[in-house]
Amino acid sequence: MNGWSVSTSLEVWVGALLTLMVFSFLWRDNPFYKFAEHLFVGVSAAYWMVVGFWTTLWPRVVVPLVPGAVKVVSPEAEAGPFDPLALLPALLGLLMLCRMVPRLSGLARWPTAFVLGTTAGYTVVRYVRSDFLNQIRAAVGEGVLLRTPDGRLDTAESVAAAATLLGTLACLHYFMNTRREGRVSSPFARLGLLVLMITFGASFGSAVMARISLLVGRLQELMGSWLGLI
Amino acid sequence: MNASSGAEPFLERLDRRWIFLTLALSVIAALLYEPVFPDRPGELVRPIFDRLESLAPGTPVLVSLDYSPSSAPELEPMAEALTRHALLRGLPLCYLSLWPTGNNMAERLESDLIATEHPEAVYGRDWVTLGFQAGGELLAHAMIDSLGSRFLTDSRGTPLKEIPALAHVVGLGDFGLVVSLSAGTPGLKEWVLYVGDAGGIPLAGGCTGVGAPQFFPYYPRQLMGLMAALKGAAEYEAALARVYPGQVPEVMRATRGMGPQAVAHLVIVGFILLGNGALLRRRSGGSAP
Repeated sequence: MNGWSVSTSLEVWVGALLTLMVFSFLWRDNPFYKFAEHLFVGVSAAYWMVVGFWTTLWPRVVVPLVPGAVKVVSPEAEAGPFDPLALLPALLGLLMLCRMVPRLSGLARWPTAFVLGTTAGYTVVRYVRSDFLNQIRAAVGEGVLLRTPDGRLDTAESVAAAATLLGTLACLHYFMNTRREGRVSSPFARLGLLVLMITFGASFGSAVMARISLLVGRLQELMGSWLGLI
Repeated sequence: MNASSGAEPFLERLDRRWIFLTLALSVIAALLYEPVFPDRPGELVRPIFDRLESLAPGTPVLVSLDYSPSSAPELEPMAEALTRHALLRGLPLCYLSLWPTGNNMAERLESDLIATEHPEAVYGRDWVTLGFQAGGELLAHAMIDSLGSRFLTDSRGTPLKEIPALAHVVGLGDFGLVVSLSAGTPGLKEWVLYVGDAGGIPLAGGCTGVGAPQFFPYYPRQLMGLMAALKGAAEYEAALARVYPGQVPEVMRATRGMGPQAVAHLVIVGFILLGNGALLRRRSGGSAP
């Protein structure tokens, strides 16, 4: 433990005070917490807007349509050719803004439909392969009698593989054989329910661990960078 | 505070803010007295460490910093451990990000770790920052065949072909390992779906504790290794400390954080036992304390 050595950095003080304002919600809702909350939302929105403009809108739409604009940020850069393809995202973006005009709001469905359709088409194949087929292969692909590289039975891995397969089948059975009123119909489905409960418990425990890590991180900042105690 | 009745057992009247206070004080005490618990690399972390150990010096490693300051306490120690390891092994690091905040995360690594622990490291030769590009999973997928088609320059404006660290890199397959340190979307899941599985690229990851359960099923076929939460970072640090004694700090950030973490877990377990004990006692006919 070190002695007190309070930071003289404005940045550190702002961070520390905002952290304390957010923590104050644990006592009760209060104006300090509200202030920090609103400031966070405002700063985040502004940050995303600025980053979005300079990393997406400017290089992908403005510069291709107005090549000379590249000199605004890099005077020594050479202007590229005019790219008419950039008109397409520009048009879709403008159609999205039609939502703000009640008479034209229907036009905003077109870019939404385009984004949904392309995303679905692009994503479905990947999800089927990675989260469905590859997961089936992982569960049953090599069977449950696994061997070590020198050919001996790997008992620990075999038991783990058998438990995974049994647990997966029990969970599927639970979902397919649970009566409408919610009663579990068979011992195997009960096993599935048990596996699900263990899984949810592990997920919750993991989430708690993550939150504690964030608490430790903030307290390290407060006690280290701000107060110099550690 | 809740309205309380004298007839109610003490535990049922207990204001939850006492629990918050107990937890905070226990973490503060643990931070002040810095208990360090021994750790060792587990089954999920060791493959990542072994992979970096097995790469020939000069082989570039890609680290995607897909997180923001809010999840940095969990993920930044992983980035630091990977950076230390790569620099010690002579593996050029390439940082990029699918998150706009990734640029700042890379800057923190440069100023807080590389500049202080490895002042001899040269930008462009030992590490390079490509920074953030919009596009998420589409960007990741496009980089499989051509990194240069998406990143014309690094974050400092240097053309990629003039960067020695990336001299032999065309696509993601030319990296010895691709690691995504991920706090959400787009992140590790997108790297698995659109890069690892789609391009057969060796892929490892680091994730927050909240996200860990959804990534465990990907190990070992779709992810060669996984650092889950602060514990995963501490395990990586333990491997580093064992193989490179004297070349890395004796107690690194995640290992230091695991002490308060363990103390907080003990406090929570204590409260759970207390609550359940009181409930069982009430159900059995006695009154809870």
